[in-house]
Amino acid sequence: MSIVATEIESIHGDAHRMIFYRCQDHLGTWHPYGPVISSDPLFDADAHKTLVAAKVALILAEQEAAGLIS
Amino acid sequence: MAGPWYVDDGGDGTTEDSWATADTNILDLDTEKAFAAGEIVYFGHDSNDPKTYSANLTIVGPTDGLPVNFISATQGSSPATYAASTSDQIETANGAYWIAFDGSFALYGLSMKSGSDIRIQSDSNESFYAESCRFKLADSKSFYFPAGGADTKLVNCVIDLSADTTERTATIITSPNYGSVLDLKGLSFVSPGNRSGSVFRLENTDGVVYCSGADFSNLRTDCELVFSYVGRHYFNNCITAATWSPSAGTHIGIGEVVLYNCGPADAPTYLYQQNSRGTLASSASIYRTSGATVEGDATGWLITTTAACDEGSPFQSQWIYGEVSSTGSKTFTVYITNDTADFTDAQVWLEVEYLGTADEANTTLASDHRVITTTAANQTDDTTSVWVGLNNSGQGLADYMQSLAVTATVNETGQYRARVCVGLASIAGSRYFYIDPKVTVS
Repeated sequence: MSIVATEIESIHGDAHRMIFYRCQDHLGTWHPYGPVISSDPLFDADAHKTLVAAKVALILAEQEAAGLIS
Repeated sequence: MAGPWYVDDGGDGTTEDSWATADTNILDLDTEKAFAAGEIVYFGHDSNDPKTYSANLTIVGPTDGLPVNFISATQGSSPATYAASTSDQIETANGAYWIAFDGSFALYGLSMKSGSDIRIQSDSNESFYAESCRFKLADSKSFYFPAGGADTKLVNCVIDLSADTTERTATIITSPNYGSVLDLKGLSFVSPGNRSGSVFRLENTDGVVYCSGADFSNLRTDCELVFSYVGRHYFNNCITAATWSPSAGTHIGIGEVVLYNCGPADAPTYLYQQNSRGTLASSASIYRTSGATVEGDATGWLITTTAACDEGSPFQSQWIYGEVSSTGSKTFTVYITNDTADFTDAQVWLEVEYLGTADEANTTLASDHRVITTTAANQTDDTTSVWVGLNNSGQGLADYMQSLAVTATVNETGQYRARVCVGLASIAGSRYFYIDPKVTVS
């Protein structure tokens, strides 16, 4: 199951941010990821999307292998 | 009960009852002595295991009763004096061999280096306790905790990941399952930046982890604290990195993660709760004016829900506790907001447990949830609240402010507790659904 799109679903707060992401698989289903919580003003939430996509792909592959999704 | 026994790399391995006659490694001693409940084995504090292992090492302890005690002590001291070790008193790293403990054990100040995993294999009538111990895992290997109802405790222990040759996605700790309990106090890591997987992981069965005082501050930003389907993980007062993720994976059944007062600095307002039906995440940036505070810091609770959330299987917030100081008719009120639409009493409601009978301990449950067969009605509009952190920076609007209220007759003064229940599926963070966790009693 491959990830075709990753976006920031919502951001909450400024100094202490909670960022919710979501990734779309090749079948069109969106999968949430997060929150990622950051108090680092230098944290680049957009750049983090690449890591999130990799994480969600890994999680989906594991869940597929475990029979939790198909 | 015999002993005490000794393990030290300077021993001659003859009678094992002194430093001079110590076995040089635990396998030789374990082969000669069947460890009995309450026995003591002293390990030289600077001893390094010289044995060349040819298979996995399983150390066998008592199968019931008291544990056998493995104590790191100053080599040569008499009486033996405790001294925590940084050497490799047990080491199987000459090959890809794991170290396993099967039985009841209590370890004090011990240090070990595995060629693979480290496994605790205690059964339901056994226990494992480790205090101030160092566990060094092999490259990308894990620390496994037991199945079968075992009781496992680690106090001020260190998991050393410095053997990882580069960043690995492997899980650090595979949590206990089949009803086993793992209690961790003061856990810390060496080279935690070598892992980008989850710290704790439990996939299929119902173990419980309690963790407090841990240092997760040097984990990578792409490392989740918990990856779990069914297990339950409870954390409090742990240090995190400046950027971190509490959990990943899809919780099912009774799987749950709850964290409070966890963050890169003192975080008394911090609360996170996730299960199969939704997530509660506290915010110190978004809250209601004159609302809830913890140690003087304002807080609001963000709620999201999953597709598994429903009126008949609602997401329920953590309980909010308070005290009623007089009897009579009381109204318990909680304020909420979101930026999409009003909630009905079929979608969001308040539950209150209060002392409804004089001189009785049992509580009475009341709620403003609709009677299941009646038509849903909007919860009450709130026209006066002011929410801080919304209505700016494109981060959602407090356009739909409401109150949840339960009126009940309290017949005994004392503690009550309340929680918000959410029975609407798939509420995303972009709805900015916040609860003020302050219960007003009037």
